[in-house]
Amino acid sequence: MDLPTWLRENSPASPATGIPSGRPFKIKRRSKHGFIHKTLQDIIQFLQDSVFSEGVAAQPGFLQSLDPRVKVAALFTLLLSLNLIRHLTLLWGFYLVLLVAASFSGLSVRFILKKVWLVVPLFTGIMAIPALFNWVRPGDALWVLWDIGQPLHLGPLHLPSTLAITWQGLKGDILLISRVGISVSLAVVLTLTTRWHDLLRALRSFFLPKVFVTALEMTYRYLFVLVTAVEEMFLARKARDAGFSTTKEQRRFIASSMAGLFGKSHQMSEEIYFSMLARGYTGEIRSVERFHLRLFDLFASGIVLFSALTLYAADKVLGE
Amino acid sequence: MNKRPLLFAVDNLTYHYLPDKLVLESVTLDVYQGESLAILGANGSGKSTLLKLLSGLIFPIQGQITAFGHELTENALQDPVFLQPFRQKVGFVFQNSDAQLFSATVWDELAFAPLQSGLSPEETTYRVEDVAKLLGIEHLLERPPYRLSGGEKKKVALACVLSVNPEVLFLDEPTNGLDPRTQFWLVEFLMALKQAGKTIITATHDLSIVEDIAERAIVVNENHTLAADGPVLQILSDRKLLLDVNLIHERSHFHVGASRQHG
Repeated sequence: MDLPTWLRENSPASPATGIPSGRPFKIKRRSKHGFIHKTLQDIIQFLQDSVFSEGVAAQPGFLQSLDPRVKVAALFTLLLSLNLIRHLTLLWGFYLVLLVAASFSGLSVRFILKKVWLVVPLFTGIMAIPALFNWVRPGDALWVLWDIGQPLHLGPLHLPSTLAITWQGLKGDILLISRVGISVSLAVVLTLTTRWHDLLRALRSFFLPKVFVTALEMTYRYLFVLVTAVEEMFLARKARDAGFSTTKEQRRFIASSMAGLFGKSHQMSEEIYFSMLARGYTGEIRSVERFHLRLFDLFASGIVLFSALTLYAADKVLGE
Repeated sequence: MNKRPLLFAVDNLTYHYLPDKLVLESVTLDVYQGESLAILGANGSGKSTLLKLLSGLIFPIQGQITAFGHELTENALQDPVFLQPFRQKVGFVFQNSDAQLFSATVWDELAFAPLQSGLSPEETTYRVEDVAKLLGIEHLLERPPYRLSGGEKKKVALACVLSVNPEVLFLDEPTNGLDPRTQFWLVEFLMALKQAGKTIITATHDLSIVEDIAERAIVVNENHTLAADGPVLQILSDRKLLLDVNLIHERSHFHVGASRQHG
């Protein structure tokens, strides 16, 4: 085979790089990372997170050993109870017990606190801001922000003469953020101590249709195949990137890789369907229930139910 | 004249995905029970399509296929009386294990076909454990398929087809991407299945395994017609034929009996 001349010898550095061949050059630090670098980092983070979660769920521990169905039932019972009670002491008392249980199961309390409390106050807090003020929720003024002298009438709206943060508003917001944060913590503890497919299967035992659970399971499973495909595409792009591609070029690459991935997933969906047909799939999924309810699980269910009822009753007894 | 019962009869079969690009043209072939058949051909010759047609996943544009004495059509496969035994009798190991392994865990993967074929949960559990032991993949049962290596995926793909105990096994490029040890294991396993009387139909262009896993070979030409059909040693000895259909290159050192000499 005759190779062209340019392929038979090593090329000098391309003039486009501005680096004269043979002369030492300074490494120019790029001011910001491109899409490709960021996307690659996100992919690696996603894979690390999922491996970490699977690892935690698979290790031996108190919460991990419970039947997933018991855990799902406990989640719903406790969510109902926690969102009905109004006393912060009861809410935070329960949260303390939850963290102790999580810690006994080998979970990092710091990780849970970080995962929940760095996000929840931000989102729920922003949504709850209006309820702080007397214009939205009338109550005893705690801090007057603005006094306009006389009540304000805007069409059908009649607003008081002062804009103030109310005691009732503040209490309501703290209660809301606490409820949301503790509810999210419960869900985080459940997902960290239960493997994803066990969790989905447990949901099927309650109310989710089989076909929906199967679709979710397959979505999760193929997420990894597609993420790996994306990683390979991006690494291949990075391997040929001399560091001079513009943002516009990178955007174009992202768009074309999205199209490529769409084509790939479409082709794969056809192969998966054939593979299901070949093994007798006729539109109905049959499965085996592999969970075994033990005495310990029944005992744990009893404890959870008792705690939920006690919390609710204590809230009623304590009154307003 | 073959005295074994006829399993598949393919008569003048033509198939295309796009009307102007034929994938298979005028293919006629018979497959008998207990045969081990290799479908040989270069990339894109239509080997995989032929396997899909034989296993009733796609249907001929022209010509007909008869399987187990019934014509294999889309309508016939709508009838559960034919469909269920057909799917139980025919197993398909796909080239892309990632597409084949769609369940959440290896256990579910192995249980899928027995459950679909109507086996009880107890019998399914027994089958899953037995086939896992047979293939040495017990330790993988609770693992999700995406956390398996290429060789492990191939073993699971084979196990999930064997768990329903098919009479006929279709394999599409089974040794693709496997390391030598797994490749050798696979060949030995297929030889054992062959000894047990299973009908094994393998589409491949890996000539190094063919004489071990097949006693008969058909060759698909690059123009998508059947170029040859005969005993495997006769086909593999025909250097001109292999050159014509792009299975070897002029400078290839392939020779019959190589795997036995080196194995």
